[in-house]
Amino acid sequence: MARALQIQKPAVRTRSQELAELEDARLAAEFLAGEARAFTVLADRYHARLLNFIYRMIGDRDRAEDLVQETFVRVYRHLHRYDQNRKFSTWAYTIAGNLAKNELRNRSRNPMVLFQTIKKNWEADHRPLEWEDNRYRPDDLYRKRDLREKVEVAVAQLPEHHRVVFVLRELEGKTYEEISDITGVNLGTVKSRLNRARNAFAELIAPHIE
Amino acid sequence: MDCTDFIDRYSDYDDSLLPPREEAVFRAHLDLCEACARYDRVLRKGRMLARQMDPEPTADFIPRLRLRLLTAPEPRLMAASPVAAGGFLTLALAAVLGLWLVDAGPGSRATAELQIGSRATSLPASAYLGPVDWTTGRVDRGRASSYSPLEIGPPAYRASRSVSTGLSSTISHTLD
Ligand SMILES: [Zn+2]
Repeated sequence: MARALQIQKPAVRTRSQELAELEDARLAAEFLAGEARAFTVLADRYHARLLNFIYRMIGDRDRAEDLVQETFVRVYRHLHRYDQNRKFSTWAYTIAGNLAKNELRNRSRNPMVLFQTIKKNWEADHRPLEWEDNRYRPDDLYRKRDLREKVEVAVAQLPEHHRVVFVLRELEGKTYEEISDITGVNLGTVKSRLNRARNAFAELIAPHIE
Repeated sequence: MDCTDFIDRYSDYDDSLLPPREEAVFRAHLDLCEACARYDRVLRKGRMLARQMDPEPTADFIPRLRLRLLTAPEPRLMAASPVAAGGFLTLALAAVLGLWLVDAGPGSRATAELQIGSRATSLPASAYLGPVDWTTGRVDRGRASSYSPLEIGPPAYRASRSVSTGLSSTISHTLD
């Protein structure tokens, strides 16, 4: 048994490396044709990006991770519906975006969720500084953390339909066309919302940056 | 060009969507106008800072996903062969799980140390305005649904963190 594993292992790694070089649409096709490892590659390729996207949308890190999981479960179950003429990432971001939107909707109807999120924030914000990189002096650390927090809060303060466009463009590097696909709004609207989001963001952070 | 024109069309400039001649006009304005130059600097620095704050997935992200996929309904495959149509999925999932165990090893970037080092906090929920219909920008006041057909009902989140997901239990579960 142990010997069989030793013999099989190099072949598995080689196939994994082959898969890792494939484009998303091809991986999806491989998975649908029965190559289960192709799903591993897709999940590994996108889970950190999707976590960032959902986190920026809902502001709760733990819940964002739950929703990324849910995104992959849906991708796994419904990959046969994925249109391979479309970018896989656009499809995955659309599912993730819908889950984030749903989360915000549910949260607004459940005061208990709001309370729990605020409590978690408070605990996280009072985390001792010694966990940080100790190459910096404490006042530098405070300043840096303070500035980052202000930037993060500024993103959060954007209205939801501006924030989604801002996050997809500025933090996820999506094109206008991809943003239009993910959010279901036309290109002109994407553009005008992005411009307004950038203006609002600049106004919010300007007092802290210079 | 005045400052209002600059701000109104800043996104086109920033995303390099302007024709070369117009871009030159923007650059010239930036050289002359301190207010717009500051706007440009603030936005670039803010963007850079925002990009430095990406949260890292926690170390147990992949094990938890593995577990969820084991209990999720099976995906529909292109059943071109008896293997794909028959007992393929259980074996295939076992292969996925095996690989994830390798991927989630010491080389994985999702380590507990990184989690502590990164800023894994949450912002006040009150800071998040919503829910809003992204297509219209209007605040949703209880409309039944604005989801794309891709969304399959409400998120059926099932908490599964407390369950152990070791290799032996994975294999026995898979082969049962
Ligand atoms: Zn100006």
